[in-house]
Amino acid sequence: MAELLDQPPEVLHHILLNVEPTDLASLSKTCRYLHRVIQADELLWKEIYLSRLDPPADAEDAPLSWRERMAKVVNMQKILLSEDAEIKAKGLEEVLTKSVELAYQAAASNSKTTDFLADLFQKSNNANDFLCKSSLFSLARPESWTVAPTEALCQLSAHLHPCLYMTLATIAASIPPHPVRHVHPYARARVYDLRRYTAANMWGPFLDDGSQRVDWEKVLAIMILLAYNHHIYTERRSSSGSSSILRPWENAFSGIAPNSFVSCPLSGTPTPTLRPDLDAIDPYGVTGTWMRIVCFLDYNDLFSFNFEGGRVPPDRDRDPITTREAFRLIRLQLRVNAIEEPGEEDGKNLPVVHFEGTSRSTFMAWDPNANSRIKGTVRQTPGGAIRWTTFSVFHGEERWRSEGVQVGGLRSARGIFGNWFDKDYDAHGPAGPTAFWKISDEMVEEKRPATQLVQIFMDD
Amino acid sequence: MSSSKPLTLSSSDGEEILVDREVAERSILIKNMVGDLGEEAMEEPIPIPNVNAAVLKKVIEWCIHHKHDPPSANEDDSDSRKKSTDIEEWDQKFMQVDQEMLFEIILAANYLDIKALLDVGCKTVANMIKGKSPEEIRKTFNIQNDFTPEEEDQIRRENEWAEE
Repeated sequence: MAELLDQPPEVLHHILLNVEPTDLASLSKTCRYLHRVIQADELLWKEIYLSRLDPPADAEDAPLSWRERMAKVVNMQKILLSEDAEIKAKGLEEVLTKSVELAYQAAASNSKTTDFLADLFQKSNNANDFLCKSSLFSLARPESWTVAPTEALCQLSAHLHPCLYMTLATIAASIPPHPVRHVHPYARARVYDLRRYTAANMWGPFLDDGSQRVDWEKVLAIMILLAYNHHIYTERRSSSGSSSILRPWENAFSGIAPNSFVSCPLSGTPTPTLRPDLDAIDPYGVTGTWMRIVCFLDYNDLFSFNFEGGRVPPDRDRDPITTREAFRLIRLQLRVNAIEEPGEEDGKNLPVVHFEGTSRSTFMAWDPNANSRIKGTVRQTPGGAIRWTTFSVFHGEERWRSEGVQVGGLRSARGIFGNWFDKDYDAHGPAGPTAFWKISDEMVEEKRPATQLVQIFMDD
Repeated sequence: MSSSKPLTLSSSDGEEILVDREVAERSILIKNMVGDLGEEAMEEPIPIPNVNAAVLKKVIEWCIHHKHDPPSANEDDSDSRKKSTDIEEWDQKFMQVDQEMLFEIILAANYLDIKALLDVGCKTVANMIKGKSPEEIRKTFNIQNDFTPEEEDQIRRENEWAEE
């Protein structure tokens, strides 16, 4: 008789490799022999884990066995696949923590982990139940989106959100309410609220407690605005057949892990870097060509929104606004020019890297604000976030400053999200959202961009 | 290769079966044997001592259907990302046999080193386990429950994560 239990060990192993982990648990409960084979076979669990997910970052000095590791993933999977609202509510922290952790471990290309996560979050109502738990959503549609019970969970949910942002619109398109369409007026009311720019948060996407820790709710609001404005912008241009410039944001959960940036070759005459010796030891991967988005409200609109709308208590958001924003797409060339030890206020694991370069509008050759020199620094905060500061320099004078934070690990593909504002911290503005992300390690001589005499304003 | 003469396989119960070369060489065991022993040795029937005629014919049927499949390259990337339910339709029908035959085919595929057939067989078994309770699995595969009550208790605890 040929039976399951008579199969030689290598064949049994092969069969077990194809069994779902939850079924393996049932199988190990059938008899002593299968129990022993399944529980003891770390290699089996390792293979099962690695056939579904990318290798974990801490695989070597593992505090967990492969079986325990897989059990954690299965738990998360089961919560996400559950139809029971109570299970989902109780599992909020577990799912968010594990998902962020996995997204930070996803391979740069052909990632199993991103497929695994994207698949789970597309199912049932998961986008609403886990990704829309931060305060911005409940502000916009309190009847549909309830806020997570604690501040820490709001931050976690907001942190996971940018990990898949651009595709969320697609994922959740069929499920009302629509996260982008309904939330952008509220995001705009936060990002352009000048009361929110303070010394404690360094005028950037950081918490208001002076800790230099990232405020993911701020990052989320910035991302929603930029994505919305970009969406309107590409819709207008779609007749001319241009492809999306936001490729690093397009795939859910990808571009988050350290080193997930992949350089694209550029055509043209290469231009030299300043200090190849410094480029070689720069941990942030600064030198190269970057794209940047800057959005702003017309100054009259910004002023009346902030100073003519009556008094609003400090802990309350201003009313949502649908006022149109301007949108600039800018090409940066950055070059490392100095590297120094971290200062007293910085994280101690990474150096402070200084850079300089040029900033050019891709729309309007004459645009005085988009064409400038640029300089800045990138450093680690004490909490481990990667903080980017830039200055736009006109005729030798600094004018606009920006503070941003890298979404994902070192040299992640998603890039940096933050705020721009007056370099003297003018309480009357202007200020607005910005993002930049690297497209190539190379730099080529700039052609004068074709002059497009259009001001890109968004209508709502 | 295709101009080479057919091979004769001799099953464990003594039946001789004539098989086209490219069909027989889906089996890495046979392919290597041909390479090692040379053409002349192939005049003689090749003994397949572990596989009876009924099973061998079934395996050959599979090899004929799949003779034009590309060799399974880079198994890490392509194969393992497929889920266990991903079995093509023809293979699903092919595997609709009694359990005895199913495990015989798996054993033969393992012995003859036909990786794709082994995969299909193992996935078929995995699908038979899918979603079943321990008791249902025992029934399906004729497994005796030999746990003591204390052991059962302990096992339930260590598998808590996979409970519904």
